[in-house]
Amino acid sequence: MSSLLVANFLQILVVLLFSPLLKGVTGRLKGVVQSRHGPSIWQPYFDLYKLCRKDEVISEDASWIFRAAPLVSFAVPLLVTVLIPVLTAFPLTWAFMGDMLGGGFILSLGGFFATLAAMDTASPYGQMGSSRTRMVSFLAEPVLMCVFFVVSLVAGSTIPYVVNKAWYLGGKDVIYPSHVLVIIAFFMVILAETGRIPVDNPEGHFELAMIDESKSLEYSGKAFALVKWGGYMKLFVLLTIFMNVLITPLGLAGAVTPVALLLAVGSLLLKMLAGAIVIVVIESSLAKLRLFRVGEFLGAAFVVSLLGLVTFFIGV
Amino acid sequence: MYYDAAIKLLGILGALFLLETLAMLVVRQMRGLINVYATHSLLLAACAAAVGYLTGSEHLYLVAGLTVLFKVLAIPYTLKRVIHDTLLEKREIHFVFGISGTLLIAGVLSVLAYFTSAALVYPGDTLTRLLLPVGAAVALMGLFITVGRLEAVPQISGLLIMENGVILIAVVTAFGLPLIAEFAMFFDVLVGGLLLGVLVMRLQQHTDTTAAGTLRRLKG
Repeated sequence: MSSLLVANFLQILVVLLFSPLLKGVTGRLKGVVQSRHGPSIWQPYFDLYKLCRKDEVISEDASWIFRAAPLVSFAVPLLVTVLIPVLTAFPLTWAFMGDMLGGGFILSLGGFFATLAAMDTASPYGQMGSSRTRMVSFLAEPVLMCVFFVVSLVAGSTIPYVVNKAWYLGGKDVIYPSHVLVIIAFFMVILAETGRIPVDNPEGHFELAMIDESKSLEYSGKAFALVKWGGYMKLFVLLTIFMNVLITPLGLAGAVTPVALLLAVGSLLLKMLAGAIVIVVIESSLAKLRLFRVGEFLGAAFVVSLLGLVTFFIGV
Repeated sequence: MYYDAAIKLLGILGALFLLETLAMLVVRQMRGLINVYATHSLLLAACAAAVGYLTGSEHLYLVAGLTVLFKVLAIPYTLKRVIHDTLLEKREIHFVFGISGTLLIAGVLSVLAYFTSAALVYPGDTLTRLLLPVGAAVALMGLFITVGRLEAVPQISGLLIMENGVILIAVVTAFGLPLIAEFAMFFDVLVGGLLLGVLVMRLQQHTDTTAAGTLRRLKG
């Protein structure tokens, strides 16, 4: 029991500590692809450290929501972390408190608070950003639903620990097209939900074109650090779900021993590196879509996931 | 051991084949269309080779090789040479149904293809069950590309895609045609592609546009 708790806390710690690294590696790789040197892979840590030492400025008219939102968006990915297989192949203490739908709801709670907080200070850019994020996430919702349907139909359950065993492609005789289609649709949703190219440009500094970033424009100091860190963790958690649940549970620890856990951390980091490379390739080869093309991108994701659902019912 | 890997590969190839066809439906750039077609054909060649390996019908390797030679290299090359650069750099602005509508209709078409072709498969015939519906869906979507796009170059690409779908059906159901028919077909497609390319250029010279969908009356 206590060893399970230790593993659980370790899992949270890994997400907490390594999520800025994912961002740093992505930034550096992107620099390399564009044949410049690129920032150091530790840059996000420096940024967070710098922000933590700075003063905070909060508008006089801001309500409690504005103060609470950074905490919520920081805590939400950590809550999801206890529900999903990050390091171990077997369920940990709180694994059955929520399923994949529950995780989705928790993540959207963070989005909800961030949206409210962006409107709280009545900054025009914040409101524009919030309405845009809402648009992107409601278009992403049906795709996510279709993905969950297929995944839970295959596994007979929506608990991530059960799903990754039933879904694992290496253990099957035949891979049906529905598997691949669902995986690709889920990846497209991750790109949209974490504000990456082709939906949003994470490096953009032009307020009128921002989608995700504009929600944190009003923040400074520690609160901004929390918002940023929350964003890094969200990408890390979503990629973990993608890699460990949908692609392969290989490399997860089978028992709570220091060696097994260490190996699991190593394999997780390798998987994240693979994810970062894919993201960098996509970001370097595509341009950001115009806002009204985002609907087409997510429409394509929806058709792909729908095809996955249909081919699962008829093809299997 | 390789047998298992090959049958797993087939499912992945089928999914990618469907995805590439969806990409074909939404690409706006003319040059991009030709490149997507080349990738599409490469996937077809991979499917043919994998089926050839699984069923032991060796002449399917030849089909795969010919597909690479003609459809991945020759047809895209000739189309790019015959059709003028000014035309290839153009983008298609209007679709008959808009992009979202096009995608949804494509989804419906593939549902239709799956429904109709699932009944044609013997129970237990994994190979056909995996790829026959994909082939049918691709053929239908190819038809839809020819109908649902206004420019001449995408319409040609629709015809070619339809042909790829039909070849896939032939490969998984009959394990390929007799070799002589195979050759004849590849040359047909090559000549067809060339002729259509020339026709597009004539259209451009005559009417200053290749938006075949908007040509409604004869121009003297």
